[in-house]
Parts: sequence; C-alpha cells; structure tokens
Amino acid sequence: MELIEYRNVCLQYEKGRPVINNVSFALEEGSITAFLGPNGSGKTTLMSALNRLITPFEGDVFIDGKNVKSIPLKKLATMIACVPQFSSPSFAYSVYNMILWGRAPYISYMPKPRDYQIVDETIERFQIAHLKDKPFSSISGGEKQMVLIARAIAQKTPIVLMDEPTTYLDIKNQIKILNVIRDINKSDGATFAITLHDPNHALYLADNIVMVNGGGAVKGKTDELMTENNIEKLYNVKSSFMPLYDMRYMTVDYRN
Amino acid sequence: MKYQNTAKYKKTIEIIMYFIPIPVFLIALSIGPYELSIPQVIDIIFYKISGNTIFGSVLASSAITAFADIRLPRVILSMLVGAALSVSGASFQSVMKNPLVEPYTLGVSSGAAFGAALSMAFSFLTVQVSAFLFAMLSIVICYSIAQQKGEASVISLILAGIIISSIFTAALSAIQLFVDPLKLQGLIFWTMGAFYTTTWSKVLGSIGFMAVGFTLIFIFRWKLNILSLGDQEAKMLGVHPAIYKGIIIFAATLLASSSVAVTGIISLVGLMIPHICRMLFGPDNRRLIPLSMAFGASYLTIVDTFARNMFTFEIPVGIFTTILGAPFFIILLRKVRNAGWN
Repeated sequence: MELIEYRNVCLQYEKGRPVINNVSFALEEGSITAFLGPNGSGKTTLMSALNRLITPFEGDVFIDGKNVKSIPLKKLATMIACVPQFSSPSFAYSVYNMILWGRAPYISYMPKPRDYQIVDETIERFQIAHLKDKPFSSISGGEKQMVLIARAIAQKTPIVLMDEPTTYLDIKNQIKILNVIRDINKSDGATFAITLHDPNHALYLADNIVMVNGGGAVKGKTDELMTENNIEKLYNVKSSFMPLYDMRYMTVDYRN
Repeated sequence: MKYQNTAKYKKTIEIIMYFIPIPVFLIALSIGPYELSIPQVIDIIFYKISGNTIFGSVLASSAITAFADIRLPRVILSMLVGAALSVSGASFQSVMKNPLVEPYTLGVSSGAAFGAALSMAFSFLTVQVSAFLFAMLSIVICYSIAQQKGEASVISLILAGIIISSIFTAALSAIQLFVDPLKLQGLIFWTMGAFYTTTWSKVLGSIGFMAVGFTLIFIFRWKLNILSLGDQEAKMLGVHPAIYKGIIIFAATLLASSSVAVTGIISLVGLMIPHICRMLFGPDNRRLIPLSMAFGASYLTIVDTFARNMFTFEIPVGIFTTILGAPFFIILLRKVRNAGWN
C-alpha cells in the first residue's frame, strides 16, 4: 500500500529559483527508500517536504491520503520522526533527556510514566544504558547518531526520515547504523526514507531508490535503478557492479 | 552504585534549594538598623495578618510600623525581582539557544529603563506599561538585527544587544537633561538599580505582571527544552517554534521589564543564577526554572541585605550584583568543567 505520495511537487527556498520541479512518486508502507543524488541536488529538501520543514509552492505531499499541509504540526510529529544529520544543542542535555525529547509530540505539559517507560525500553533496545547520564555533547559521533535514531524510535511513528545517517561515521559505525535501521524496519514495520551518499549503503539497505538530480526525481526498485548507466547519469562517474557478500556491490573508477 | 548515591545526594540538595528562600526571607527581615530576632519577625508578620502572636514578643508600635512599611515590602520586592530576573535570563538563554544572553545583555533592561524613565519624567502611560512596551521594542529590534533565516548566532545577538543598550542608555541620559531637577536625583539613583525606594505600592504594582510572566514560563518550561534545540528540531518534534518562542519571549520580557520598572537596572543576576543552577543540577528546564526562581530570590535578597547594612549609607544593589557577578562567574567557569553548555 502506498503510504506517502508526492504529487507534482515543486520546492524552492528563494522565489524564482526552484530546487525541485514537478516531482511525483509514491513510497510503499513498510519499505526503505534511499534518496540518492549529488551534493546540492535537493535530496534533503525533497525529504523535508514530508515533515513540513519546507512547504511546496506547487503540488502536494500526502500521507495516508491526507495532505501534509492540513495536518497540525503536533499531529504530524506523531506520524513522522526525523533523524537530523547532526544535533548540537546549546546546553549539555543528558543522553537520557535527548531521547526523552522524542516524546514531545505526545506531551502537553510534562512527561507521564508511559513516556519514561518508552525511553527506558528504547535505551535498552539500543544498548546505550552506559551513556544515558553522559552529556550528549561529550559522546562520540557514532554514539550521537545512535542516540538521535533512538530519539526518533522513541517518537513511535510509522514513518522515519533520516538525513545522511552514515556520513560522518567510520566504517564500523556505518555498518552498525545500517543494521540498526534494517532491524527496526523488519521488527516494527516502519517506513524509512533516508538520504545517502554511499550507493553501497543503498544497495545493502533499500527496497527502492529515488534518484534526485537537476530538479527532477526518478523512483524505482533498487535492482532496476542501480545500473552503471544511471550512476553515470546521476554522479557523472564510471562504476561497475559485482556480486559480493550476498549483495550487489558497486565500485567506481577513481582515475577520473 | 556510585552514580545512585550522587543522584540521591543531588536530589536532596535540590529539595533543600527550593526551601532556601524561607530562612533567607526571615534572616533578611531581622537585619537592619533596628535588630530583630527571628521569632520577633515571625510575630510581627503574624500580628499584621491575624492580630495574634506566636512567640508573644512585645514591640513598640513604631518598630512594627517601620518594619511593616519599609523592611517587609523591600525584602519581598528583592525576592520577586531576584526570581524574575533569573527566570527571565534562563528563559532567554534557552529560547535563543544562547548561554550569554540575559535581560541586560539583550538590551531589554535598558529599553525598560528608558520606558520607565519616560513615564516617570513626563507622566507617559504608567511606569510598568511603558517599561514593558520599550522592553518589547528593544527585544524585537535586537532579534531582527541579529537573526538570519530565523536563527541568531550567539555573538550577533550580544552585539545587537550592545547596540540597543547604547541607544536606550543615551536616550535615558537625554531624559535626565530635560527632567525637573527635583526628580533628577531619584531618577539617577533608580537607574543604578536599588530597592531604596521600595513601597507597598511598588510591590503591588509589579506583582501582577510578574505573576503572569512566572506562570507562563512555568507552564511551558518543558517546551523550553524542545525550543532550545533550534527551530528545525522543534518542528520535527511537533513544537511550533514561532508560537512558543513568542509566548516565552513575551513572558521573559514582562518579568524583566516589571523588575526594571520598580528597581532600575540590576545586571548579571539573570546570567549568573541560571548558570550556577545549570552547573549544579544540569540544563533541564523542568528543574532549571523553579531552581532559578528559588536561588535568584535568595541571592538578590542576601546581596540587598548587605547593600543596605554594610555601610552607614545605602549602596545601590545593582553595583553589588555587577561587582560580585563578574569575578564569581569567571571563577566558576574556570573551575567547573562541563558548565552545562557548550
């Protein structure tokens, strides 16, 4: 079933300079979709239209048949959680509190016992109990990313957006994050939309790909869309695909 | 285990902190040109309320009058203003994601002082309303100068605050040139920040405005945590930044302006108190706001008790808070690692 639909969406930050032009596609419930494209192509912008960080100047985005524009912000945050690329709070909030903030859409005045219970469960699930009293600012990049994902999961939403979750991490942490996403998708059935820079991460993780370039976007199944030809069109680099470690693996020609 | 012990220990200190204003209130009331014991203080207050005493003190009626008309309103006002400035500072810091802002550094105090002086000198509106209007004007100008795409950097806000502050300070000096010489001395003393002129009418005139400010910030202190993550993350978490920022800035400005209107500019309280509370108990606004309130009330009352009793003449408390605040703040910052902000 289609959970998210982009219908003729046009996005811009400045008038007369559209970043995304007339884009339409739909994402299925329970799927993982990777948004690929060069720097500045508008991947993040396109994704931001979903949780109303940016509003289309033409066209509409629908979740479960409802126009995103007509959903109140608080209600929207119970449908979509978002993992930002990074978070640098000005105050040294503890890891526990950073995850508790994920309960904000359900809280009018103060958190209730149920909110604390969900945070405790999430901390256990992510095996980060040893971090919970540390200031968020003092933990490593990989741990921060894990905590931000935990916050999004504590938000208990059917849709999770992630903005380049692996970009600043070392290989070990990249693998850890990719597998966490995969596990959550399998066990909770949440729908994921993730912007990624590494095509191999998309090959490993994603059911579908949205290729974003030159203001347009094309959506397709990962296996169909990830070809030498399309990669060359998208990034202007030569690549080749090979089977490796039970997946299709992409490598590029570094010699320009 | 070690963690649990520290947590328990901290919790106990935290609870004690909430009650500190009570002994401070009673001790401050007992100190003055006419020394009173704590039971005598309690007796006078009870006598004024109910006509009875608890400890059966016997006091001259002149002492009772002096106490009830001068010392009592003064101590109450110093508690209110201390709490108001601290809560205002803590709220501005969270909502602007900026550990360096407070009513004084944002230019809010200068705006309020100008508004209040304008009202005093030329009977323009009432002092409280005029102070609030100009405080609001200065925060709006300050924020518009500093912000880019809805976010204002730490330094640009401070710089904008300095500009606003200078403009309103200059305008305040200009008022002093035109004002009736009989009003001039009072005006100058007032701009230095003092409780010297406290009367019951000042307490009653500001308490309503402060109650509104305190209530709003207390109710929305959980949202303050979310707002302090920035507009984008607040939106992601379903908290409308424009609406809640507006409410908090309104309330924090009201607290600052209603303080300035009755006591003049008392600087650094709004910076120092929230930071000390953050260093001791962490930055979570659910605790920070009530703690700043209790600690701010106690601090300013203690300082004012010194200001009125240390010498034979009265020293404006604003001078004390600045002199005390600056080095104390530097020492604390250097001493305590992980100061609650990065």
